[in-house]
Amino acid sequence: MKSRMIKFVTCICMVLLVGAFSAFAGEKPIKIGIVSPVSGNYGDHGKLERMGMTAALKQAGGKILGRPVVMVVADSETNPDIAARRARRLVEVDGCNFLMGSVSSSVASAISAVAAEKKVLYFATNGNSDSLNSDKASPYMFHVAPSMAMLVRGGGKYVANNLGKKWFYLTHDYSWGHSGTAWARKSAAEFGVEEIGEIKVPLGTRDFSSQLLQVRESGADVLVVTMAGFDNVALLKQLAEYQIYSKMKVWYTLMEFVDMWPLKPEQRQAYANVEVYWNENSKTRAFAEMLEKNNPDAPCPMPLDNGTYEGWLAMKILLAGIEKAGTADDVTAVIKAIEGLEIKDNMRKYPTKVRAWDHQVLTQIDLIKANPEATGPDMWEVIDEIDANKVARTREENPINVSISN
Amino acid sequence: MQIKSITRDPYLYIFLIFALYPFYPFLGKFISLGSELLLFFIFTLSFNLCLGYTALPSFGHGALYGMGTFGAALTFLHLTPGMGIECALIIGGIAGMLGAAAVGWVIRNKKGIYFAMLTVAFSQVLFGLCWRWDEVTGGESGLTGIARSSFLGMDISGSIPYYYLCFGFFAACAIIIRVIAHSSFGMTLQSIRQNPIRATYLGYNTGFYKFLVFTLSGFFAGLAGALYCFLAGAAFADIFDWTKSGDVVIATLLGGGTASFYGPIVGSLIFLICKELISAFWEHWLLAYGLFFVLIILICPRGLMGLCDRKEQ
Repeated sequence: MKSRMIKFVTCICMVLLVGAFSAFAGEKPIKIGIVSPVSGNYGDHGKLERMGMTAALKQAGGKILGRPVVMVVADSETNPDIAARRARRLVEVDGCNFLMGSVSSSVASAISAVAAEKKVLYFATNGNSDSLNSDKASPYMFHVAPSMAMLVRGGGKYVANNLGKKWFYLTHDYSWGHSGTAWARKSAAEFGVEEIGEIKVPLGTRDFSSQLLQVRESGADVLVVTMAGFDNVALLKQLAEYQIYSKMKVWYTLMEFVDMWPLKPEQRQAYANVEVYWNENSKTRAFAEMLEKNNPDAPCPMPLDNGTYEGWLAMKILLAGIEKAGTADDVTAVIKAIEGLEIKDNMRKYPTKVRAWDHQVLTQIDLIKANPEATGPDMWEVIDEIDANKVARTREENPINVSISN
Repeated sequence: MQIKSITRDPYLYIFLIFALYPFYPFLGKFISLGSELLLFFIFTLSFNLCLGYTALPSFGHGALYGMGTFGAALTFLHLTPGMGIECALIIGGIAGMLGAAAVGWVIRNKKGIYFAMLTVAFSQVLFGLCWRWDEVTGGESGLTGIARSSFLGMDISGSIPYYYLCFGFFAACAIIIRVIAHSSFGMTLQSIRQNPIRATYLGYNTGFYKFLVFTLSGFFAGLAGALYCFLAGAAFADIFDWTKSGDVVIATLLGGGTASFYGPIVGSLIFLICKELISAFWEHWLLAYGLFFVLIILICPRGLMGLCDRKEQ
């Protein structure tokens, strides 16, 4: 009994000792904690946002205020509980004052809760939920990706005026999908569009035959799709199989380049709102080429996707904020410096503005049309570039204030 | 004699080790991991009452933990906003217990794989409900803004006071669970595990015993979940996902829950600490972690504590 107990206690002590001594990290100047999916289904999306952050850091010479900046990466596994634990580790153990990353709104909310508790600054890079700026808004979080309101209203006008006025909605059946369709409905009311119908698709659907048959026979001009993840990739393939494109136009309220790239050219025929396109102008093209050269293991060619751009922008805003505040140790001063900040050299038609009252970063929305004949990475054509300032929610629509400047 | 039995008690050492956790180099700084470990201990110990003691393969135990989390979160946000967390913790525990009781009563006489599948189905139903019921559970974005303030008048907003609160709950739950396991009730459970038919012939209503242990286990799981909600300051639907239930099964089997009462503690420790450390250094850490698990199960199928046991024999 006694020796068994000794073994048992030794077992516990060994594990704790290994934990205590194996992970010592040396003193590092300014640490930025990146909580981003490294493994699992969204590993590619995570890789893209980290590539963007690294590129911005490199452009700044890897230093700010004369101090080197280091990125400490932790795998979020796209799970809010795990992401929160990793975020706490980055703050408690690594001493990060700044956090960045996430590809989903739930993970962003979880990290934001940690940031608020620990009083550190967090940049939500690639989650598009409206709630991140309304009921989940926090003085310690900036939302870099555009919200669904901006995306949908950005493209809605063009779609209503040019593609048709009878819309059918295909909605992913959870809060993000609902908000996409809700904003599309608001645009529809504004532009005199008639609603033909709506199908809500449960999470995890891979076979869309019944839904697409119904859509095909509906007589709609436009199919408005708010779907994400692997369900969406399956849907993209089936849209072509069921010849939806010959019956109506398809408009995605949000699309990622990395999701559409692996499809066959004839399967790429939809219109979509995107946050950026690599071939939008000469600057984005040059940046994408540089990214491709520096990252041979990127998940797609010309890897300037939504996530890459938001990662790049988040890092750029943070570095500009630290520089303006003149300190990286006083988080409140950095937040104050970032509120109202404007970034002009953002490679886009419209400058980037950080809105103080809801901590939303406003840049630009692109409406693209996929080209089914393109075989290379230049598979999209930019139809419209929309100033995010004009389509973002107003103060009347979102009466909150998380600014700490006033 | 009594002192000797106390000094021989593994709990004494476990409690000592964790009472000093905040003072350890490196790990001491990662105080929230310590709190999470303690809560995971309560969770796995409660799970092991089902798996190790009664051979009930409850593969949806994460749902009971999640019910505790959401029970506490909703109570704190809507019934007792800005007040102490006592009420929310009690409701969390009761939510886990009621959830377990409702499911347990229906499936108490199911065996093996049927029992396992029904518990998984239960957790997935709750996941779907929670993921879509935006008005109550917050849907994808979950519930946030759960800022813990006080417990019985003590300020627990800091990390270290909260750690010691979790430690207190862990110590109490661990002792109670062991008392249950070693009581005549626990012995009956073991007899049901070893030979359910014989237990029935001896006059035990095995279905009722299974229902009771599942319900009790649900209370402790719910309590751990409730404490977790105040650690995270948030509650998300993902907690109901089958992966959470998978974690507790892996941790319990790794440590050897079927071989020793303390197996779940060793398993949870290795599970969480290794996961956190490997993931910090290598981006393909899941591969190493998977291999590690396979290796342990190949070398000692009864888990790590099973290895100690076998050597002694």
